[in-house]
Amino acid sequence: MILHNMIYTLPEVSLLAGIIHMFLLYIMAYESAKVYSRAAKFWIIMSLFWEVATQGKSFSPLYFDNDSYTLLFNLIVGVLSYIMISLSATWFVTENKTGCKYYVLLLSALIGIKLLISSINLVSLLFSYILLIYIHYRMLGISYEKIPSEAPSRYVGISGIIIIIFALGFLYINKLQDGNVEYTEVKELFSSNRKSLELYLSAISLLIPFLYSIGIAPFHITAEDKTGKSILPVSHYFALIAPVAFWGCFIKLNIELMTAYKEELSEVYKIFALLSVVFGAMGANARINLHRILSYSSMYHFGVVLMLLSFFSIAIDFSAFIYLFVYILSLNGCYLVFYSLRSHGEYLSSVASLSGLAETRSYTTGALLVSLFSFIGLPPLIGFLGQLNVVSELLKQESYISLGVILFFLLILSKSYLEIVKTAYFEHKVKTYDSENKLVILYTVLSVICIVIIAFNPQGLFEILKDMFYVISI
Amino acid sequence: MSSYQLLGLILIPLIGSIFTLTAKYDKNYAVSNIFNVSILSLLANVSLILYIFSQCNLEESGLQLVESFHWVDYPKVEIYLGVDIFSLLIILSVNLSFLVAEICLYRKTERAKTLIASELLFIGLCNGYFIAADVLSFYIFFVSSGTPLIILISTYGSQRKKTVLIRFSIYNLIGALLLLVSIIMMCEAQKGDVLLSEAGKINFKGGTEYFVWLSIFFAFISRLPIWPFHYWISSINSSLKNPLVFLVGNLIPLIGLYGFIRFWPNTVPETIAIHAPIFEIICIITMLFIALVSLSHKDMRYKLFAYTTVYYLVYLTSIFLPTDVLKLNIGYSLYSYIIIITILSFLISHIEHQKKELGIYGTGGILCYMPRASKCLSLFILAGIGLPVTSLFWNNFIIISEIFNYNLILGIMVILSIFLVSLSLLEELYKLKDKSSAATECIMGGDLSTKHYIVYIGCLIILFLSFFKPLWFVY
Amino acid sequence: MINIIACLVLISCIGLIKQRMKYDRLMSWIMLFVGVLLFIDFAMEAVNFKEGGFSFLWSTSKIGDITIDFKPSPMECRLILPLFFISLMTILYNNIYRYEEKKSAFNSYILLNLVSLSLLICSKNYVQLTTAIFTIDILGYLLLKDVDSSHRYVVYNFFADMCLYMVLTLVSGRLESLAISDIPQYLKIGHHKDFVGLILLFVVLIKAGSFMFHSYIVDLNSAKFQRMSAVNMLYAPLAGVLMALKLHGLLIVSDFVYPILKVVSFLTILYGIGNAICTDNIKKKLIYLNMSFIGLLLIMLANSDFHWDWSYSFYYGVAYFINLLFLKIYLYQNNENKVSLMLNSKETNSLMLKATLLQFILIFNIFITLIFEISAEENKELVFVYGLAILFSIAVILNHIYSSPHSRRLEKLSPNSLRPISFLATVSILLYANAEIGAYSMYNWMFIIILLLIIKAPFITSLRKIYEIEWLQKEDISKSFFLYTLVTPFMYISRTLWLMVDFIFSEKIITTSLNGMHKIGISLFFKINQKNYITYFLFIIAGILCFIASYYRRQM
Repeated sequence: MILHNMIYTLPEVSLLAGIIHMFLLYIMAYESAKVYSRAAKFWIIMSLFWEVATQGKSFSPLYFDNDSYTLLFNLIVGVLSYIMISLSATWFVTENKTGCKYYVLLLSALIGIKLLISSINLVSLLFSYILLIYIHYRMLGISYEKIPSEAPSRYVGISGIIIIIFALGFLYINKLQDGNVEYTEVKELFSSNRKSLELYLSAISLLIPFLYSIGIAPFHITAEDKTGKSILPVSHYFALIAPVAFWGCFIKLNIELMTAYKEELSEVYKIFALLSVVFGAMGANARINLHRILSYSSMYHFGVVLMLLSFFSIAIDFSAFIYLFVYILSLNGCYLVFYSLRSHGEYLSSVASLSGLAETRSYTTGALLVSLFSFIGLPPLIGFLGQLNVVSELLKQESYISLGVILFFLLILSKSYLEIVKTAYFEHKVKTYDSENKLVILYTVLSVICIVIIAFNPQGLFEILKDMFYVISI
Repeated sequence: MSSYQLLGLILIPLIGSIFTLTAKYDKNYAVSNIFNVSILSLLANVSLILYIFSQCNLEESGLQLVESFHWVDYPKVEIYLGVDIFSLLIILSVNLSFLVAEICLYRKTERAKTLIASELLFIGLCNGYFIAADVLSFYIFFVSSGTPLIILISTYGSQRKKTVLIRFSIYNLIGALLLLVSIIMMCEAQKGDVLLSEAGKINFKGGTEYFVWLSIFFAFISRLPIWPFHYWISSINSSLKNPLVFLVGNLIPLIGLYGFIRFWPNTVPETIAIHAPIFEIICIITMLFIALVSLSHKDMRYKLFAYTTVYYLVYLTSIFLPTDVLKLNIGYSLYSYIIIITILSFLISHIEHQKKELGIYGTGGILCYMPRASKCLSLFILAGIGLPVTSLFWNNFIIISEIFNYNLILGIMVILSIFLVSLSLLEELYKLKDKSSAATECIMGGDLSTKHYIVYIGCLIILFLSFFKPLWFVY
Repeated sequence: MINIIACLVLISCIGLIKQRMKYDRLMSWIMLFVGVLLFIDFAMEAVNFKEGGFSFLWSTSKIGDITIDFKPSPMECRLILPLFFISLMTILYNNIYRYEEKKSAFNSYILLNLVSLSLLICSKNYVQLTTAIFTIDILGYLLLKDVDSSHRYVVYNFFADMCLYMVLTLVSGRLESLAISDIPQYLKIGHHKDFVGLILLFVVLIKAGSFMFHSYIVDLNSAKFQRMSAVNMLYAPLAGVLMALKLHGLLIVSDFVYPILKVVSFLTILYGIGNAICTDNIKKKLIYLNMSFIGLLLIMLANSDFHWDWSYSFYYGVAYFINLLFLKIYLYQNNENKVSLMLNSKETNSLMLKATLLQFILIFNIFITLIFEISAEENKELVFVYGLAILFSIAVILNHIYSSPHSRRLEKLSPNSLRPISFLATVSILLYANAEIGAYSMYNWMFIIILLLIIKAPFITSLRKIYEIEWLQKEDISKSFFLYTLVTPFMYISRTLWLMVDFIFSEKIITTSLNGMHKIGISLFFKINQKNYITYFLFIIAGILCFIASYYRRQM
């Protein structure tokens, strides 16, 4: 029995082994980032393999549950991580760094993500959340600048407050439940004490950390810094992997815990969603750094996802997931382009650095264009499928004002995308770009092909996603 | 049900576009390879269209050769494709125009890959738009046809117009989003996809009906240079020096016009149809405005843009008439009209190109040294303003007589606009032929090549034959 | 009949092919001979009232079939025959006189114009009518070639054709028919009758080159003499008159048409005569004379309710012959444009000029006889008076040429053995015509003497001082009128619209407002989204308060 349970820890253990492997390599004084990245990729593949193999099993059924829902998110995170690790190696090689710290932290983060998504107990939830916050703090601290950034300290300060809120809520619930804080029990507690303000406050204290980590207004405080003030690989992680993880957990919390408060939460979610949409659109227009623009863009799109989640219906939640999924795919395409934006060994991140990109890098610009147009929701790109779902669901629910606000601010957001397009196509070349890395080209092409294939024949994939997602409603 | 013929009309240009993008870069042969690929794709497409024509029953007025494809279940989206004689005519003329354009385009064009790939993408999506038979696929192709346009304008547009591009794109996006909302409301009301011909039968109540239909029409208007939003489209169009991109820019209003043709007659509910006079007034104001401005504008491209706009709006005005008998006449007229504006775009570009090559400052009198170009430009301008031996003349005759039947003032304004815009073209022609402003020494080598000349004369013969029998090419 | 048309078209197309000069001359004579044969053939068929012709179905439509018809009725033959004859005379003169470089091309345009005129006369539907009129305009443009002379020609005719197009679309829409024979029904069921009638009248007046619409005709003086007179008499103005004949059923729907037509025609005659006397340029003189001819023709037609008679055919032939005779004078004066500089031929070319004067006398005789007969038939003495006035003006012009004070030696014309043929042919025809209409009465002889006296009268010669008045030579009243009342305001409106609406409103106002709103939005964003801990706390607290507010709302 114990051996069986140990087998079920193999996904996490693989990642842990990867961490140990990193340390050994560091001790053995390996200096090439490629070595570390290869090792990290190997252990991620192993982890994914074991994840699939041990699907439905958990090494601690009291705290964790691995169903197809968690597998879905773990797979998405795993694949994105694999791509990210491959590309980050080129970054570290260019910067002449090993990247060991980064890979160790990444693998640790993946462990934390797995634990977070598969949590069915508030204890494991709190623990994995704190672990992740700590790892994120250390990641933000990875900097090769002479003057260190204030972002990590700001992050840890705010996160500390959030963790305190989370902990207070947890402690209250724990006290009421006498340590029995499984989701099912807590859900029962909420359902039977709907009028209790304290319990309600405890419930929201469970939600606030996730809203904060995803970057939903008004808890979006450090969202911009995470992507804007960090190195490219870290920015890539915070833009793609972290949100997927937190969304996976957030959706699970809403479905498995918060249905008792759905009427109260529904209104609040709508307000937060609209605020995110507004802030996201305006912020994207206000910034000139590409990563910051995309972080605000993410805020907008996450606001739309939250709007769909506010209806507390499994079918609409799936629509929200589809929207999120297609957005992440498109965002991944954008970040792939960033890895090829290099001039004299320096990675570029401002909009102005795209000047004349179309003259010399027509394919790269094309890939960027595909992603940006997918964000806007232009057919037949995959972003259109997401947008179709959103409009459809909001019309069914007769949320006309919300729909109007979302579409209006999409126009404003589109202006920022079009500025990027304009700079890439209209402006004359200012910088000479370094030759493109073949791996970057390969992943960019694969990403575009993936987007195109899904756009033309999404049905098969959507069926699989639906089957995996709907498990959570059972 | 036919098998994939209509889908072929969409896929052939898209495949051509992919071939173009993947063409290997070779200093000597790359550009000619790219053009050969596009010409072959377009030839294949034209042949397919002629074959489809032969399959159609020319007497039948409804959709034929309907094909359906399943796309996604959630939300449920089926793609329906179907054609009638009208849409086939439009598709044929567009494809033929681009084929002529490809043959006549200078092979030393900058960034030829981007140009040809985007152009083939545009053709494929346009074909899809003209054969879409349900509202959702109509929307998909309507919006997606704007994407290659943005790429082309961004690549070949004037530096001074870059801010106009953003405004133009957002203006189009507003239309697209409104159309999306309306179409989804229609689908929700019907609990499924809606065929274009059934769109008018959906019952909406009061304000919702107005919102849905006005949104649909605004979406189409966003593609047409309607006053006061005409400035951005006219500004971009007149700055496009590449003739192929200029042609694409001039065909964008066709997309808006086609939308009205599909939705207005027999489809729009009675409660909306009674407001037709408002649309007519807007059309007339725009026509007069643009025609008047073109009189004093110095740029020949603007004059051509004004000419195309006025004619589009004439067709649009005829659509709003309380009669449904004009559709085929509009189709036959558009068929000739699109070919004419293609040739005119290229002739104007040839003149501009020669001006640049020969180092001439002004274009006055330049046609004195280009007899072939002079002949072609004169004939096509005459054809454009209504030379009687083209189907443009005859079908416009019927259209304008129906307009007069409906309202005298409307008819007078239409004729006045056509006259003003034709006059501005004629004046420009005279300026180009005025020997007193020509360069002092005789300039050699600026005339049309034999290949181009033969192509243009061929197009003239096509126009002439179309007057005898509009569907002379159907076997 | 179809063979005649087909041969004419074929020979014209062959004539347009570029060839060497000797082949060009040979071709031009072949065209004349073929033309004569075809004329004889056509005349035989017309005289014997043979049922001939053809009708091709071109296209069908809801409102009628479009056919190409050529089945001339006796009345239509009365129109076609003289035009055929005039065209042949033009070709003969072109072949004889070495004036044109490309003779066969010129002849081709004349023959093609003849075919177009014939199709216009025989048209039974609007499409054939408008196609013929457009074709005549294009042929006129091609014949002129010169930019200065063809520019306004094209613009004015294009405007007239657009107005015609507008009227015909209106009428065909109302009648739901394309047949010209259905036009009388418009009087009963048509709407906007005044509008239709007046616009059509407008078209006729523009095409005919009447007073106030004559600028484009006057511009023809920049072209070569022969081309100018061909276009002036065989192209747009004639097409306008023929169109009026075909569509007179639409002219009579409005009561205003006839009075306006008569007034304008009278003014045309007056203006034409006045300018013919005052202008120094011989080409312009001829143009003004032709204006008065056409003005008189319009009055005659208006008096006869637009019923064409043989006498009108003769009249038009005579008018055209006068043009040919002036061409001769022009050539014998070594292509001198200004009458004030022309020489009196006392030393050279005197025989040619005198022979021309003889031909003038013969033609005046025919003219006055015709006018007398027409005015007697219609009981309209004014017609006779107008005709006399025109003749008087021609006599004055001839006086200024033949009694010129300049007698220095003219250049001798290069030898041309064909020149006597032209004299013989013309004189024979004129003598025959004189005999045919009985123009040898006593009154005719008196008239000839009076005319000769006028041609020689010194007091008329003293009128040459008019040529020194500069503003008279340059001023064109209609050009100035339309420039200030139409062209300038339109251009002004156009520029104002572009500047005010396009540039200021669309570009500046809308764009500036949007940019302003955008900037306000961003500055608000920066104000709210500040990077300090107080803002962070406020955000968190605001979020929590939202939750709480929602809770209490639900509880209530």
